[in-house]
Amino acid sequence: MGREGLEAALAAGAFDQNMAILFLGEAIWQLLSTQQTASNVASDHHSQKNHLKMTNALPLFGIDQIYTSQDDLNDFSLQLEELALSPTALWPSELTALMSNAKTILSF
Amino acid sequence: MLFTLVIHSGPYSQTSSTSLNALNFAKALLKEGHTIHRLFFYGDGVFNLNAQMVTPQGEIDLPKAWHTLIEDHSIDSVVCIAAGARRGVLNDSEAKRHQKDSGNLLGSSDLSGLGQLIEAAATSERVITFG
Repeated sequence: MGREGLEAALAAGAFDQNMAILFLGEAIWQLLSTQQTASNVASDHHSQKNHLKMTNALPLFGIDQIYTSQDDLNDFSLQLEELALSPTALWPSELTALMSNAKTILSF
Repeated sequence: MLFTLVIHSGPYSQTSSTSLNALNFAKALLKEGHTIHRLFFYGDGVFNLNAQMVTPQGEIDLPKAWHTLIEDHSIDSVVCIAAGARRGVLNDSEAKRHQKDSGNLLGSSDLSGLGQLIEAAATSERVITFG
């Protein structure tokens, strides 16, 4: 649902909705700029087109609150600096606070 | 209370029970006197309204069950047009536009865009995502 979640976010941006995006769990891999997919690898290892370019368009749609989870980064041994869009890494209590302040949460 | 349900899972997927949960949740809402502003079928959820599905006897016919619920209660039901096109759930006019033989969207659900999801999220008091 990575790409389709992103499309929903861009649609919400186009409708001027105030929103934050959280990349949690495996979704973090979407922000890894070194990912190689069908569009830039001449092999059939992956059947999906890389949508990082689309992800990078988020700020153009006024979506600049991008978050991830510090715990999940640790689980995957990833560093914040490796990720596109410079997300803010949150601890569980901060994630809970962010989500409880939202009127609506859509998950993909 | 005004609810919108977003359904991401389809019949016979690994999370098909989630789709049944959504259906039962929708029924429970109506039974309890709540109002469903919209059902929004996204991702693999579009398969819930695939009219071409043939459910073996004795198994739960999810498309039929959704169809009955939607028609009986005149629920606003939207299948995402982009998610549907990717997965081959089209109405007759979309099928024609994409040069496919025939449409297969079940019942009176609309094929429409993500704006319907955003509008529903802004309007409803509760949005529940399944799958």
